[in-house]
Amino acid sequence: MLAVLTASAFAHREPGILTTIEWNNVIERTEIIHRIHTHDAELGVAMVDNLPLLSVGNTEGMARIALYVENHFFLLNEEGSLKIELVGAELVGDYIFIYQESIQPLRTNTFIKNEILREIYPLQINQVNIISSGNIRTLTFTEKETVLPYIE
Amino acid sequence: MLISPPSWSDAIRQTKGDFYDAFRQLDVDLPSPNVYRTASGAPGPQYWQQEADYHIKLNLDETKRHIEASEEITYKNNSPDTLNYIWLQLDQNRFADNSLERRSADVRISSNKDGSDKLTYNQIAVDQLAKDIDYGYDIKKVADKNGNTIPYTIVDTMMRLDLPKALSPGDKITFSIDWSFYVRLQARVGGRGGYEYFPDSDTSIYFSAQWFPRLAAYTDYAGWQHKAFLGSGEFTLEFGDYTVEITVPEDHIVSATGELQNPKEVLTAEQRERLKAADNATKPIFIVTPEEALENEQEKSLGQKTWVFKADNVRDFAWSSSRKYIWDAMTHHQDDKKQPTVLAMSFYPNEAEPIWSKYSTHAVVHTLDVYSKFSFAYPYPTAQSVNSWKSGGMEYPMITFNGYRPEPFESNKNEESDAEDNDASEEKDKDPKNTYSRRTKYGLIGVIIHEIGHIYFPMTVNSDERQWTWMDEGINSFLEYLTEFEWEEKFPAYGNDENVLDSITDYMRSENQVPIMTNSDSVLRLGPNAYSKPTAALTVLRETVMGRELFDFAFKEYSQRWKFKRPTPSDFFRTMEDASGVDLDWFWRGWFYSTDHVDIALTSVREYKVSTTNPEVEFPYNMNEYEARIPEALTQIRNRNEETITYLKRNPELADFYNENDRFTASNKDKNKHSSLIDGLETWEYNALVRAIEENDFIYFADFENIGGLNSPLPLMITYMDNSEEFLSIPAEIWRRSYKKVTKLLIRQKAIKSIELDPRHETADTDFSNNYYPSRIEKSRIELYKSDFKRRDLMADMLKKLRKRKTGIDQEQRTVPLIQSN
Repeated sequence: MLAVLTASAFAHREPGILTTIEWNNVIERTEIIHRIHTHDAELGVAMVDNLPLLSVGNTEGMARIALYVENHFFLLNEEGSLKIELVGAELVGDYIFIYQESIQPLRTNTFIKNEILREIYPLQINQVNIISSGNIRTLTFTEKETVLPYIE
Repeated sequence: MLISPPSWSDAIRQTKGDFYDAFRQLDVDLPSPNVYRTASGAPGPQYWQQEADYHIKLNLDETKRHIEASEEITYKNNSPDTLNYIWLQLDQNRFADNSLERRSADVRISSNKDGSDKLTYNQIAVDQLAKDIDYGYDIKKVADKNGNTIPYTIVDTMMRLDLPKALSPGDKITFSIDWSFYVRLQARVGGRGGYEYFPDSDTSIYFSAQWFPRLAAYTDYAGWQHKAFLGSGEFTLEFGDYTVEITVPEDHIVSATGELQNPKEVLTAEQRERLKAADNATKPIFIVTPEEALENEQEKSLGQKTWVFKADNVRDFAWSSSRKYIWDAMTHHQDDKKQPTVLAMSFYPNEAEPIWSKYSTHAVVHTLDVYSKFSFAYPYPTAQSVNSWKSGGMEYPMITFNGYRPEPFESNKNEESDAEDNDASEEKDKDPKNTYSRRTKYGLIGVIIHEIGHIYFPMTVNSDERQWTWMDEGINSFLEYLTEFEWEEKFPAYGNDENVLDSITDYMRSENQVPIMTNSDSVLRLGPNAYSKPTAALTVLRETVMGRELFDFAFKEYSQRWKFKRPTPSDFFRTMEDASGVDLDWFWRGWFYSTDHVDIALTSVREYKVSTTNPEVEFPYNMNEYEARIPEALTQIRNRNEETITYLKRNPELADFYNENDRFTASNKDKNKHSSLIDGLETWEYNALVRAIEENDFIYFADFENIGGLNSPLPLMITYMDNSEEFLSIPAEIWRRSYKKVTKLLIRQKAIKSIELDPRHETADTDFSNNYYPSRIEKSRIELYKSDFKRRDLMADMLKKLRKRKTGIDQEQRTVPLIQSN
């Protein structure tokens, strides 16, 4: 049964996903890293999939979360969706990191659509830090704003 | 309302150049000390706070899910002000149809991927519940002790009582309120109290918080703390004594703030005996066993019982009741005359097993151990952990509501993945009974630590959560972090692979953040701002800036000064400095008042030797150096080898002064210059020079640049040419005159091979790529991940398999079918 968890229930911790986007000049790829708290990921993806709770402790659980993220994060320009490759995922302490790469460097005519776990945690704030030549620009995705233009 | 002025509105402004005094004393910006709060950060000689005592009687009607109650409140005015009216909080009113919160709510999940309107089953359910049930308080009577009605005005979640006679300083008033309200299905409609329903067994758990009208806080720094309650900012309350009589179905087990006064009336003889045995228990023992609880929940009893609880000097009262509860207890001993023993207890349904009986009460006791070490002995007779809901956690004096229940382990059902998962690390994650995951276990222990910890901060050190969430959440998260380290090594708090100082950096360098010292209601991302960033800051303060001894002493001083009182941020900042003797203003400014982050770069290291300044020594040295770097022209070398005789050699009379003295020959002028330099030295300088030349030390100038803006101490690992190492910690005061760039002089007997800045990751540096001399190129996180081929291949195979499987499954949340009619 689907239930919406209210943010107030987590009186002890914040929900929120942090994504960083950075161009890696050495390997010539745009590197996209999503960091999600393991509990949010496990519970959230299980609810969407309508399957019992999954565990980040095994490869299948991580893979399911990674596939979910792949279907809820997009880079768009006037020609459509940019191709993003799902590199993998790993567990680091309390967080699961999902790795993606794009062969294209991002330009200012690109839009980012970020709906990761939005349907489960509507109040959640998804943050994207865009790192270029030492500068950080931050995009804040809320339930009202799920698509934002890329900025440098 | 207390608002801390941001630095741009300082009275003092540096308008010339780029200078910023990161070390300016904070006292200029903190509220002035007064008779209520001193300059040293302690409660002043005329410190006051109000007091509110409650005697409450309530009756839970299980069938109607309705509570009827009445209370008598005695409010003591310890302030120097005369009060014509007093404010009470009616928190349940936020759920009323016409509440500010409900009216200002907007459609949450508003659209499908294609932008069309979307209505979820949850939204319909909430609406249907609201149609059926009138939520919010039904206030039936407000009267003085003679029964005369006191005029009252309800403003959303607040009620103002207009006192028949003004309440003078030192006076008290007693009045009573009768009210009732419907208990909410919390999982569906949210909130911190309500009931949980188990459809399979048609059983429920009731848990009540914010369930009675109570006095709003009246403070010296903000007057009445009575902003409308919109659900997320929490609240501050007054201390007082409570007597609460809880009438529930007679087969319920009740857990509440305080001590049970009438065990003979509500417990069986067997239960009373077990409770007595718990006094000597060093491990949890059952008062109600899982089997007994399971049997108990099979039938609903029709009678009622009244449980009477008493709690002294608490700021709130919460309780929970269910026929499903298993109950265990043990006694915690502490070295304290007033409270030498604490009864640690847990209440949970069978659905929470086996993990709750295994860990809950132990986690409670462990928390009391560690937190008391850092602050003060636990000040109450009991500490309870109750599994009243599926997830989350909430704290009240002496009782906490904690989530986390085991879920069936999925991989057990899937034979394919079992066969292919050979990764050794995953073997460790397969609990032999396959009943709960690692995440659930550590989540449970973590949430219990955190919520029980809150009984110290802010239930006892009563900071104002409405204004400064970080003072309880941040301090508590920090202590939780320490408590988890002490539970077991490799506790996945911020992780054994990451320390909090590594995981906070992405937030700290984001654009959309606000300083920690921002009023709670205005904070966008409360999580990192109020929980993790203060945890990181206090970790740096404890392990690096102050050191454990000074930090622990000062922190304990703060805790004890403000035990049962209401501190503000300045009291914390002042006490930490006052008790430790360490100047911390730069630290508070940087970490709490700004959004700067730590990114220090080691930009250049230059090596020197002391020069004898004697041209007859140095010039040949310089020439040798020069020749070593710049080879002679090939043409000239070959000419010499072929014994070409130059014109000058054939006509020596053409030689002059310049032929005898090249720039590397010491001329008389040079020699005279040297002599006068030496003569110009004072004896002590000359001796120092002679000694320095003799000792032949290596001299280094190391440049550091503060890119992130937040000044930091500089812990350095120096590696010498002979591979020996030296760890050197340069204090943050090195930045006091120049907060952006600084040069450090190092004189050593050995030649340095390399220097690494912050090798132990203790400063929250966001970028380690500029921390090395000689500089290094670091691999990105993804590059490192990709270099582990085996793991990467496992993941790639799994993704391929799952993609094939997933065709046809709609991942969208189920939505209600709609037809547009206009």
